[in-house]
Amino acid sequence: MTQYIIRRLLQFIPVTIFATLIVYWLVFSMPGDPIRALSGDRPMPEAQVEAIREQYNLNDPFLVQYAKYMWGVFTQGDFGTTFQGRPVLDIIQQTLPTTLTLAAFAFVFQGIIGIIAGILSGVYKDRFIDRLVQVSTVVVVALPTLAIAFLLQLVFGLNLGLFPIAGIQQGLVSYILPAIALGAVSTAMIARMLRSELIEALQSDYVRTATAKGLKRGRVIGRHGLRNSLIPVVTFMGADLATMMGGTIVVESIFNIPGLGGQIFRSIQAQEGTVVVGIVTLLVLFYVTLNLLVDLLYAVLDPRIRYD
Amino acid sequence: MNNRTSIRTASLAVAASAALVLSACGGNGDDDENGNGNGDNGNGEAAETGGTLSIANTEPQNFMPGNSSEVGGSKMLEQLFTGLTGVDYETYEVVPGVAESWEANDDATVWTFELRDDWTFHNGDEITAQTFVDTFNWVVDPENGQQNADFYDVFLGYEDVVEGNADELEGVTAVDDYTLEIELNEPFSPLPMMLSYTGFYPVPQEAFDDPDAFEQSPIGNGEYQMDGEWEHDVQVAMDRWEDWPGESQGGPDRIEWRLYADMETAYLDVQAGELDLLDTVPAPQYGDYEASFPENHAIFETSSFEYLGFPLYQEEFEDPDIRQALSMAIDREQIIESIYHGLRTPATGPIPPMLAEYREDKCDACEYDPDTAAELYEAAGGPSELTIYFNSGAGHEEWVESISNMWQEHLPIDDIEFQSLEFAQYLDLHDDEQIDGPFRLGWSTSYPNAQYTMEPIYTTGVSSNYTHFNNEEFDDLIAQANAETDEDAATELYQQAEDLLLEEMPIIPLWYGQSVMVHTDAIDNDSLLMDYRGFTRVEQVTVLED
Repeated sequence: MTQYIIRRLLQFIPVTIFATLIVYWLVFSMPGDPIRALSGDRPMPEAQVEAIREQYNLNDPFLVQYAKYMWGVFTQGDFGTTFQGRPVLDIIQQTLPTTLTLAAFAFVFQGIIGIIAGILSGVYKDRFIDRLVQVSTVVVVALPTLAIAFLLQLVFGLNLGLFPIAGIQQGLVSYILPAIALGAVSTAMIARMLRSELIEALQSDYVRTATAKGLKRGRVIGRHGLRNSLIPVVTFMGADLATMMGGTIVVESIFNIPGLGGQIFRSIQAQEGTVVVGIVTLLVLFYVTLNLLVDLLYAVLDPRIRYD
Repeated sequence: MNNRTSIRTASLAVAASAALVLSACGGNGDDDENGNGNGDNGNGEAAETGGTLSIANTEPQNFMPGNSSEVGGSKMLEQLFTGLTGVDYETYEVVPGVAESWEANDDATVWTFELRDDWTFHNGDEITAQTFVDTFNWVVDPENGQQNADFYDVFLGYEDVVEGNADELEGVTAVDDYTLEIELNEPFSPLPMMLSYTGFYPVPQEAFDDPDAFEQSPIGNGEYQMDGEWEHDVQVAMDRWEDWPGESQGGPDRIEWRLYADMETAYLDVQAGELDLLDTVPAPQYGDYEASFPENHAIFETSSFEYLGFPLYQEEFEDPDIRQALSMAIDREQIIESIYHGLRTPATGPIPPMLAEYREDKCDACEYDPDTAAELYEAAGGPSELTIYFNSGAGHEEWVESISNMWQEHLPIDDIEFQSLEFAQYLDLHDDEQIDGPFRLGWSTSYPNAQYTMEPIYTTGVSSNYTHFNNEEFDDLIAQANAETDEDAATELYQQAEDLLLEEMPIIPLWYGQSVMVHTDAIDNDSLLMDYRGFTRVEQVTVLED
């Protein structure tokens, strides 16, 4: 087990280097000079442009730029600064908690609602509640996150006035609508996935055996049916938590939430390699860590899985 | 103008009650001074002060006067700082700021500014002539990478500092504590007006010691001071600075600039009453604001000027007739109606409507006249294929397509291609002279003077001259106008220069911007005013309730 974890942790190194290299190269190879674009229609004096280019190593060849940057990150924890001089670490420290809060809300929301709906739908197969879950999840999956976000904002924010429309100034309640928007599609996916897994499990031999042994139905479903059905769901939710970061780009901008997603979007537009790579490095680490946790969680759900 | 003032006075009674409650709460000894400032405008005005205004804004790029070239930061810096001079937003004349008076020598090359002796920064540091000397030197120093440095290029010694041959601007000297002398490379009568611009605000020693820390909470000398730090992507809050030596216009006691990534969200927030004022209603809501805010909206013209330039370095655009024909084949009114819901002003030249130098009927080629256009184009042998260049992702697609349809319909043009590029890439193409068709660009007036609407874009060899327009007569007219100390004579010269531009037509004037404001019942509609830069004059907005 320990060996397995160490081996997985060692894999972090090539994954991180490879991912950041690609991202850095993508930002680097975007056409146009980002410094030139900083001042808009009115060009900056040549001397100022040079000063800024020098400061950000923009005159160096690609690999040198990348190496200088990575050296700073891993030796001094220096993630560089934006073209405006703000340390990237500052940005991450400020935006990360916000995005994590949002993601946590969405995660809890999709976990609870998705699993409850999935169980109800699987257990009461072909009954009204099942049909309801089936139809509503198809609708949600078909709608783009963008549309869901606007819909929630208009109905629950503006017309009913139940939740704040945007911003985070009103505390945790501000996160509810964005979290629902962010988690909606996954909630539907989880419900549908769990439903089919559960239906299959409930028809399997071991469940029939358990029922034959005279176990209560609740225990049969919970301990035998559900536990097995949850493995793919956990895999999905783990991977989803990481990809959720992509969804935050849309949701954070619509709900005006000052998080990582909005920041990464703006930085890509401004071709700020340092910010993009800083955040991406973080996301990559986040993703591989989550994957590891998910893999470890399998053993809890299915004792047959071994790691050595 | 008169009408506006009388409505404003009528609304004072309502504002007064709110303000009285607030000043009673504040209860500090500075009320007197505040009252004095307002006394000039009549008795009731003092009571107009009060309340909290929340207004939508964008996250600033920079929050340092010398480095702020975009609107998000500049709007807020204007409230935190007061320059040597200021602008009267009703008449667009230059008014005293930290300097109480100024005079130039005969040819407008040496300027002497007399400073008031009672100005300090929010932290109590005194402001003297030396403060300005230090600030100006710091902004121009290339090591500090300040984007507004090139506004100083008329100052004597600018080149030397930029090229690293000198540490300080030769032309800027503190004669004594309160006398500042500025010597220029060439005659430049718009100097006092230019000095009202963001890039010339004085900054305290703190700014030089640690610019990055300073930007998180700038210490200025303006009517408002920072309350806490700049909360990135969330808000910037500022409170009235009771010791401000300037002349207060009333306005709120506290301004909260809420930072939005998307103004459509801000629009919903105003609808829900979470935000008091949004002064740039986004285009998708142009069709909705009248229904959603039947009373609570206002429309203002801005100096934001959009044009199609010609790459004059390409042979096929050398003939002015071709350029005029293309202009005449555009039905500006129709595009404005169908695409912008009427929210643009057809342009007749680079000088925007709010400036004193503006004239309405001066551009024959800006009139829609497809028949003459076709004749001209045909006679001059205009190209039968065109490429239009514009920057992508900024909502230009629709009107570019409209114009290309008009050109194809009215002129002997068979094929029009579009090149839409990311802004950075777009500017690169310009720098490399690889543009071979009409291109879209814009210009906003940083300080309200005709000089700034023309000189930086059309004089020979300047950095924003993307058309490569090269006309000695025009250069001469601008130089003469800049040297002219008599205002009327200068106006006439600038107008002549504009006429010449419209004749030669290196650019096709399209339209000037308009901004729509929407607000809640907490704001007095009559107190709203937007200036030439598209900045709401927040320091004179009346907050009726909180």
